[in-house]
Amino acid sequence: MMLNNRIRELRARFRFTQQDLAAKVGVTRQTIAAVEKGEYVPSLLLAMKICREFGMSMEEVFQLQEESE
Amino acid sequence: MKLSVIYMMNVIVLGLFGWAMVTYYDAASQFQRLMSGSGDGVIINITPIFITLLIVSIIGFIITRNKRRNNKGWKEALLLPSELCEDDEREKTLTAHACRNAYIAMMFTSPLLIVAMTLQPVVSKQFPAYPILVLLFLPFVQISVFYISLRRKLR
Repeated sequence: MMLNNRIRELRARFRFTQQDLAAKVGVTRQTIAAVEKGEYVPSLLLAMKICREFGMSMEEVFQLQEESE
Repeated sequence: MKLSVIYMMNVIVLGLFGWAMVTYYDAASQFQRLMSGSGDGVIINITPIFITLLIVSIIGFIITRNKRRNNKGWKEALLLPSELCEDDEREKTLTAHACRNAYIAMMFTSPLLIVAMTLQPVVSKQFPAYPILVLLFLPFVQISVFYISLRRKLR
């Protein structure tokens, strides 16, 4: 099971750099990069903070994906 | 500060501390001979202790100043190892993973070191400070495993 996300796309749409988003949600730039690449699954709190910055629901930003898909 | 630099500093400090303790061990042996009436004095070579104190002070100063520049409090800057200064939840997760691996390494290394200590009566004739070397091997393994785990995760 994997957690896909649209953070990179949404960042581009909102014209946020990784550093901007990182500062807004209180993490390092490296963490945003790792979340975008799918290398790090964020905590519920961080995921909700990211969703709040984009003004979207959790389902719109994060999607659960089966391994075989 | 780069992780590899912190690791190198830790290894250097550990090595220097071991060197200084070998000198102390030698002095303690001389003292023991003096107390039993077969020795004629205690001579301590202060060079290793002096060099250790000097280098540890310099490294300590650099690390503390670096942490203070990163807005860490005095308590954290002085007492917390640099590799445990996490800035967010991902870094805490990475540290937790590395600590877990270091703990597992300790579980395997400790019995081996205890076995190595049993050789002390044989080895101590040629190398009196053998127990110090054996004891220093445990933190060395833990520091190394911690570093390798973090490096793999950060790659």
